[in-house]
Amino acid sequence: MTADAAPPVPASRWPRWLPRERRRMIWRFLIALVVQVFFLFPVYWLFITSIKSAGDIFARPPVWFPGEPNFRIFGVLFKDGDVWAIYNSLIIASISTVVAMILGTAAAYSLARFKTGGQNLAIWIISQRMIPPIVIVFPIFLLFVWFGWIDSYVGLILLYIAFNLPYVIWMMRGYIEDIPVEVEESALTDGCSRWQALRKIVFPMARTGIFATAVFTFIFAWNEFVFALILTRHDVLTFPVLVTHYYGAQSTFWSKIAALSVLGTLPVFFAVATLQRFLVRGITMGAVKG
Amino acid sequence: MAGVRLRGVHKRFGKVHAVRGVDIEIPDRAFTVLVGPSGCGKSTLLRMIAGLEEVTEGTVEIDGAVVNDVRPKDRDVAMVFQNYALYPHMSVFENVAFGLRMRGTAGAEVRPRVEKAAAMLGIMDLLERQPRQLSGGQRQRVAMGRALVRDAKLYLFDEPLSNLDAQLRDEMRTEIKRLHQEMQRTMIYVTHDQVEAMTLADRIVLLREGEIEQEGPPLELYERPATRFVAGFIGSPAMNFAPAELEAADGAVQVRVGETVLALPPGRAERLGGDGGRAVLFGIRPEHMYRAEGEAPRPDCARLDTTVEIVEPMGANTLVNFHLGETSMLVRLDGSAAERPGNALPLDVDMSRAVLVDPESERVI
Ligand SMILES: Nc1ncnc2c1ncn2[C@@H]1O[C@H](COP(=O)(O)OP(=O)(O)OP(=O)(O)O)[C@@H](O)[C@H]1O
Ligand SMILES: [Mg+2]
Repeated sequence: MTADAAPPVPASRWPRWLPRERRRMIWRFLIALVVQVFFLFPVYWLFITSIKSAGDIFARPPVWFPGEPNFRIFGVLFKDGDVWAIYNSLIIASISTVVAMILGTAAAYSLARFKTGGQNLAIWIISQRMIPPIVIVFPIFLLFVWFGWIDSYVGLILLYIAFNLPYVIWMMRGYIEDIPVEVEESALTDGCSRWQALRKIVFPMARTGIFATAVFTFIFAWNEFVFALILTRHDVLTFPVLVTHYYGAQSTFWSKIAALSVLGTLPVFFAVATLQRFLVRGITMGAVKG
Repeated sequence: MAGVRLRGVHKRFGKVHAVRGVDIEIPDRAFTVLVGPSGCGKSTLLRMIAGLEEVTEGTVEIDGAVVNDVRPKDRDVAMVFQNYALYPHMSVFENVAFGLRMRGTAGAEVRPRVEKAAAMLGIMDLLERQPRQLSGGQRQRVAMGRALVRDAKLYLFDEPLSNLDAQLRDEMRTEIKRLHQEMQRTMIYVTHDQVEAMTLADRIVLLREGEIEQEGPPLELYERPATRFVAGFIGSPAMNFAPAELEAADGAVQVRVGETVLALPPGRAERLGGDGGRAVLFGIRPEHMYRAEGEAPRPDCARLDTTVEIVEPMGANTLVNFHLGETSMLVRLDGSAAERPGNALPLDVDMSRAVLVDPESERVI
C-alpha cells in the first residue's frame, strides 16, 4: 500500500459508455427531443392560449411564456355550465363504448370460432364502416325526429354503438383468431364450460386487444362531430360541437376554445395513460409450437 | 373403467372427408396407438373422442354410453395437444394445476400432485416460469404434465413426444409405459413414429386416408401385414419392395426378380398353389436377410449374390445398400461387419418372412 497508488475509481452508478456508444446516445436523445417538441408544441400552445390574457393571444412577436397564468376562463366555463358538454361526451362515449365492446366481442367470437356467416358476413360488416357519415346523416336525422331522439342521450348512444360495432367486431375477430383454438379446447377438456373458457382463457389472452379496441372506440365516439352537430340542439351538446359554438361571425372566443379543448383532451389523455400498460403485445406467446 | 367404442364414425370438413367409417373397439385399460401418415385423420379421431369435434356420422361411446352430444367437460378426458396449447398467461404451475382446480380438487391437494407430476417429467425447476420462457421440449413436457396430473377416465395423447430430442424421447416413452402400468387407465396415443407405436401399444390401429388399414397387436402388424401399405409402414428401416414374378418350377414356386430366382420354402409354395406366371411385388425386411455362411443357404432361405454399394454404420448394426435387379435394397447386418463398397456380399434371404403383394389390389397374398 503506497500513497501514490492510483486512487480507486469510484464505482460509477452509470455504466461507463464507450465513446461510440455515448455519441450514439446523444444523437438518439437529440432526435427524440426534436420529435417530442414537434408533437408536443401544439398541446403546449393550446394550454398557454387558455391561460393567456386576451391581448397576448395575438401579440406579435408571440408570447411564448405567458408571464402571469390566468385561469379565469376555466372558471367561466364552469360557471356558465359549458363543462356539461364534457360530461355529455363522457356519458355518451363511455356507455356506447361499453355496449359496443360487449356486443362486438360476442359477435366477433361467433365469427371467429363458429365461422358464422362465412367470410362474406365479416367483410359485409366492416364495409358498413366505410360509408361516409355525411351520406347517411340526413336519413338518420329524419328517423330520429320520428322517434323523438333528437337532442337525447339515447339517440347518440345508440348511433355510436351502431357506428362503432363494425370496428369492434373486425378488430376483436382478428384478436380472437390469433388465439390458438387448441388453447381453448384444452380448457374445455380440463373441465371448463364454454363460458368459463372464455372468462379464464380467451379474455385474459385477448386482454391487449380488448383494451386497445376499447380505447379507439372511445376516442372515435369522443371526437365524433358530424352526427353530434346535426342531431343535438342544446341539451346534450357534446364537447366538439360546443367548441364550434365559440366561433362567431362577429367574435371568436379563442380563450374559451382553448380552455374547453384542454378540458376535452384530459379524459382521453387519462384513458390512454391508464390503459397504456395493457397495450403491450405478446400475450399469446408461448402457447403453441413454434 | 372406460372402454371406448367407435361405430361407423365419419367426419367431413366441408368437402374434405377426413374420417371415413371407422369402427374401433378399445377395451378398458388398454394402450391403443393410432398411427398413420400425416393427414390420415389421427388428430381428428382423437378430437372426436374428446368431444372437440362434432361427429358427422356414427357414434362414439365411452363406458358403454353414447357421448356424441356430451360436452368435453363432462367426458372426463385428459388430452395432450399436438401443438401443446399451454395457457400463455399462467405460470407452469398454474398450467398444470388448472385442470385440478377446475374439477374441484381440494386446495391443499393441488400442490403435492402438481409437484409429483413435475418431478416425474423433470420440470420441477420450471414451475414458476411462464410458457414463453420455455423451449419446445420443455413446453411439451408441461403439456404432458397437465394431462398426467389429472385423474381422468381416459387419456388422449396427440404426438406428445414429437418435439423432444432422441434421448429424452426414449426416456419419456419408458415413463409413459410405466405410468400406464401403474395407473391402469385407458390411453389412446397418436403418433406417426412407428417405433413409438410398436413399443408402447397393446394394440395398433393403422390409419390411411381416414380409414383403418389394419389393426391388431404390434407384432401381428409386423409379422402379418395385410397390405403393402402396412408392410411398408411398420418396421424401420422400411421393408424393401421389388417388382417380381411368381414362377412354377417342378412342384415348387419361386420368385423371379430380374435375373435372380429365389425359391419359396415348400410350406409357402403350397399355399400359393399353382400361381405360376403371376406378377407380384416381392417384399423383404432389411433384418430378414443375413450374411451367407457356408455352402448351403440356411433353412428356408434363398442365396443371393450382391455387391455392396453404400455402407451406413449405425453402431449396433450396419445398413448396407445393394441392387436387386433394378431395385435398390437395404440389408441390416450386425455392427462388426466390415463391408466395403464394391465388395461381393452373398446374402441368405429368409423366404419364410418374405411378403408377396398383388400389385393390383396391393393386398398381401
Ligand atoms: N378444421 C379443419 N377443416 C378442414 N379440414 C381439416 C380440418 N382439420 C383437419 N382437416 C383435414 O382432415 C384431414 C385429417 O387431419 P388430421 O389433423 O386429423 O390429420 P393427422 O393424421 O393428425 O395428421 P398429422 O400427423 O399431420 O397431425 C387432413 O386432410 C386435414 O387437412
Ligand atoms: Mg395430427
